[in-house]
Amino acid sequence: MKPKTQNMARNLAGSILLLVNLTSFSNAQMSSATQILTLSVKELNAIDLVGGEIDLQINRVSETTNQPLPAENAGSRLLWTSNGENRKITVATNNTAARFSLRIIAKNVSTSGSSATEVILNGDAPKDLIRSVSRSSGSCTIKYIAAADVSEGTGTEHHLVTYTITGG
Amino acid sequence: MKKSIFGITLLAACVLMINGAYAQASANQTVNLSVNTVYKIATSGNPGALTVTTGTAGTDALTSVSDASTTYSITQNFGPTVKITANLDAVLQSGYTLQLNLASSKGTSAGTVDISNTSTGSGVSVVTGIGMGADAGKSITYTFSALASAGTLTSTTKTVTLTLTN
Repeated sequence: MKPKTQNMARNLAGSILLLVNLTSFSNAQMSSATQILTLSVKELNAIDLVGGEIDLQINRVSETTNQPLPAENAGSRLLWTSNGENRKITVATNNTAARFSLRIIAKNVSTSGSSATEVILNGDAPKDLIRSVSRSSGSCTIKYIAAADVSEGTGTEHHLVTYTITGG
Repeated sequence: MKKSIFGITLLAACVLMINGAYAQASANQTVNLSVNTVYKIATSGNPGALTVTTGTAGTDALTSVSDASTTYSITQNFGPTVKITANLDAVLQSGYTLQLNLASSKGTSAGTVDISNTSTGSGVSVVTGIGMGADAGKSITYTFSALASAGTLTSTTKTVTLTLTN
């Protein structure tokens, strides 16, 4: 190839290369817009009881001790969710002068949380039922046990049982 | 006499026509027109604070919150392959989810897209196949959700970038 022809070819190649580069630059064009978002999650504690009203009737007597047999009900389910740290679930009754014994057991506690073996409701301050609830949701079965001595006679008592998720 | 008047009139008319012809002049200009590629995207402002405040007992996923108070507008003349991508300035912590939905009438919205794990340089497409023209005042919907197991989140600022590109 003659030198003049070589120069022409080189210039042409350079032009094509420049054109390709310009095309690439053109294709890379873009436009942007930004938005500022403010995100937050507040501490929340949710608790719910499924099972409705419970009716416990002590109407059987032990043949060996001649004492009334306890009445039980395990048809309630307690559910909770907390995104806080070191929460606990307490239980309390509004009946401060109960004659008959009412005990509560939290069974089959799922996920986090450890349950007390048994809580006796006697109208005092709220009792710890489930401890060490942190950043979790969970559930358990609530078992109520009502008991009475023969010496306590007969009667009817009402309890409004309140479950509270609170600081541990 | 009449012939003389007619002759004079004819002569005058010819003179006027010749003068008129010599008065004409023209000039040419070459006008080059070009339209460069235009990409423009803008938003109407910032959305309100997204704060998770409630949940359902027994469920780890807390109740999500949404904001659809802002809009975006675009103009582009590049072609039918233009898209909008979205990214955060930095990924969200695990257990928190930020979703984005852009409405579109010039393109195909990807629907509700999770942008929690995006960051600068790793955006996800939220609208594709945008045709040439303008699309104004289209809604932007953010949805923020969290797991109880992720704990609380103190007020955190995140920057969302919407990019119109091909």
